[in-house]
Amino acid sequence: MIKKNKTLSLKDMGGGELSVALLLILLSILGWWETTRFEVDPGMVKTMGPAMFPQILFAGIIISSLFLIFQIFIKKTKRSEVVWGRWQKAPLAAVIMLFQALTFEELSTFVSAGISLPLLLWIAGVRLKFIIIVTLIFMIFVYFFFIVALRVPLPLQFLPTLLG
Amino acid sequence: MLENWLLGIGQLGQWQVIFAMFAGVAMGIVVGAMPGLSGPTGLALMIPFTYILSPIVAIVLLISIYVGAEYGGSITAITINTPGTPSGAITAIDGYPMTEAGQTGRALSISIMSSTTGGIFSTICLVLFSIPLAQFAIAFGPVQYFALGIFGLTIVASLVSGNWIKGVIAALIGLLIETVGAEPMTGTQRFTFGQPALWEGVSFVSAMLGLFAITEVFLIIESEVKTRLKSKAKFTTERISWREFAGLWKTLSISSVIGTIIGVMPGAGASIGSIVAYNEAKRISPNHEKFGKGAPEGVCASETANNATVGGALVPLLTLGVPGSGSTAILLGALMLHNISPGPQLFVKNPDIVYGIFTTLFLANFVMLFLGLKFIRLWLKVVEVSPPILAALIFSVAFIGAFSVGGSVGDVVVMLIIGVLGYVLRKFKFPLIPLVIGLVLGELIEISLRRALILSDGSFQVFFTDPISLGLLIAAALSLIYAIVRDIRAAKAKQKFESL
Repeated sequence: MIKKNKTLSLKDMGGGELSVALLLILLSILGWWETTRFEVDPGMVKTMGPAMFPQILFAGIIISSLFLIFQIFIKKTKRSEVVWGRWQKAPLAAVIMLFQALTFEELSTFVSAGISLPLLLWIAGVRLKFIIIVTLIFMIFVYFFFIVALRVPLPLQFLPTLLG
Repeated sequence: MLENWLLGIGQLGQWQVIFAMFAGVAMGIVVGAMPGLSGPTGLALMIPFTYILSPIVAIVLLISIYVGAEYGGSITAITINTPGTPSGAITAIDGYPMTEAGQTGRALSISIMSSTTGGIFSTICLVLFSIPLAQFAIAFGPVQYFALGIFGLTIVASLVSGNWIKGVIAALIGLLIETVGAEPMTGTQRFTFGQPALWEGVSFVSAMLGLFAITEVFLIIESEVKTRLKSKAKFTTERISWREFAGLWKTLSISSVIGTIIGVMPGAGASIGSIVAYNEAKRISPNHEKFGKGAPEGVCASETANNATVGGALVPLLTLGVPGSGSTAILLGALMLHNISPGPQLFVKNPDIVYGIFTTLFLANFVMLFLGLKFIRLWLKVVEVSPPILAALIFSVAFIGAFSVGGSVGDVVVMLIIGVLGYVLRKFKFPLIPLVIGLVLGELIEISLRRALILSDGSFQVFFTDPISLGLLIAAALSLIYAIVRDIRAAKAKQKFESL
């Protein structure tokens, strides 16, 4: 608990929300700068060009973020509202997802999904027996439902050769 | 009129449409029943695969998912006290005590029969009110459409969140994401950073899959919920009779009206409909002391109202092209992917589609009644799937879905980036619904704004001299003022509570 009259630190003052508000302001300033580089058609009034709408939105985000900071200080929020679980799992899952996205054209759908799906299940805390069963069933489902029935053009690489 | 109805009914005379209706309702019940999943997630996962279907089959499938999902939330709410949807939480107040009292079958049958009644009532209202509203809106120009877009977005941003600033920021982020890619009037590339995958803008399918599927996957994986959901209650099959059900007519009528009206209001949604209807049913009931202890009227009020919001929510979507919830925003996007633009012109150009939707809603409610009553044990088995396994499967299906639309890895990467954004926003309690609606309405708002300004030589006065536009902008401002006052009151109440 925070004692009365004690100076509140950034962490105490709803640090999460404050960081997000400051980040939004920074990104909006960068975004605004990017809009100044948009090409404007000859004959078009610059203020009504392609930059106008994004600039209104960036201004709106900056003003709203300032309101958010003001709200945090006025309310004297004692702690961040954010509740993190085993948060390390989310970035780890994101890396596995990105791995599948970047490799599945090279390795084929089945090889990349065959690596990433068990890893994802493992991170999620599923037991080995179920990891194997779920992965196998899913692969069969992908083949018959998406490739054979729906004819989704998924990268197969060596699979057609293998199946003759 | 009769000709249009025949056109609409004629659209549904194919076996594929009937199959899509049954499959959609079944899928909707499953995603609605699974805690952590929701109607929007089910809709987002299915959109990519509707590409191979004809527009009418795709529409029937998606609307049937929407209808089924609103009911599905009540199954786990009643049997294991774990609502599948937010509105299911209200159903659980009386539904679970009924299960504890050995009346599972009665509670579930009240739930499905009430959901069907609410759904059919709201469909009748949709038919009655959408046609004149569309006729009124047909004269709307860019000025009115801009004001309408701002009104829809503001009211959702202020109502949907406990913190109006976060709602507004989410809406602005949604509008910004929509500006990525070729600018709609001149084709100038914006925020593409030389990436060909962004030249056509952020793919709607990737954005929806990212926000509703990938975000959910991160949250499930992080939460470490490993246990399967299993009902401990002794399952009884005794159903309520139609005669007994008819005795609930008062609750049914009031809840249907409340649900439909709240469904029309952008941002309010099924959970608010359920809360208001439940409170009203409790107030008027002579047995109000039984509420919370297993009152059938409690289950009836909540379930009637949440399904009545479906027809109500489709009124602004079909007549004005303005969605008021996550599900209707996804439906709007899905319709546009099939080159169908909801709005007043839809009633003129595609009456077959409009009346096909009306007929689908009527029939889907009866299909829901049939599936709900006949296969209840099956739904209870399906929802026992372990959440981590479900998360991994959702990711894999979303991955294939994002790739299948354009055959591009870029769309998959965009889906992942938006999924991470959605996860971070959810962690910081930013609501995602205003973001989705901003994304869907972004182009309409920008084009209308710029056209209106070109017509008025750059003067913003045009938005305040037109009575419709002025009225909508005043309503938008009032909704924000209401949200500010609400937040200040809530903060004061919290401070008072903490000081005690």
